[in-house]
Amino acid sequence: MTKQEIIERTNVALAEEFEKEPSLFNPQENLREALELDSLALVDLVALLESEFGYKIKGPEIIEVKTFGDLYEFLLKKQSDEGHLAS
Amino acid sequence: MLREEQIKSLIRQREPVILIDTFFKPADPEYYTGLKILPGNIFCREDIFSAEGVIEHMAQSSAAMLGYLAAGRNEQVKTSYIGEIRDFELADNPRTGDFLETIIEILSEVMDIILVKARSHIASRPVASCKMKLAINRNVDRQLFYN
Repeated sequence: MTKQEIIERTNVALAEEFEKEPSLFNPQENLREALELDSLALVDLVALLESEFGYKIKGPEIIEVKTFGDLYEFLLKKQSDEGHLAS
Repeated sequence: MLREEQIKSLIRQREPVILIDTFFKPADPEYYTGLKILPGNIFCREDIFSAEGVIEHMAQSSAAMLGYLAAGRNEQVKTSYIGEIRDFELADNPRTGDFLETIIEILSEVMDIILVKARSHIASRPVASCKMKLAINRNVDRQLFYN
């Protein structure tokens, strides 16, 4: 997947799961604030991303993700690291 | 498969509210528990095992799984709390005499919050399912798991 495809797929999945308008998502935006993620909801985010992209995500990895931009880069790196092209 | 006393070391509930009598780990990431629903179970009304009983059985199953994992790491068993239950579906109430079986699967884990999926059935008949978030309290130890 290209970075743009990852961004679009991520935004659609996040909007549906957390019932937010995807047009509000931008790379500089704080992910947890925009999605209103508390500590309980972070596991939902991990479960969603694992299901959507097929990557195994460890808790400490997602803690480091602060913004939407961080998330897109994180997923791009996962794809690169795992040599994985999720369909 | 764990014995009754071993199961007790994994959960904090005591009689008459212990709702698992069987525990074994078939294959990561799924864990299996069971309960023979006996006459007089406090979650039964007449011979019907209540939805609340099914949820409590699922919660104890999840707690036992977390205790088992802790024991496997040679850690003390920690107390966990239910943070959220969602997508609960009850297809059919178990009845006295049924053997309720539940499969617990870890879906994701972030720090001390764990999301599990619980699926209960009787023989091959689906009974209930839900997702449950568990919060582990690292500051509360319980008795050590023993072999």
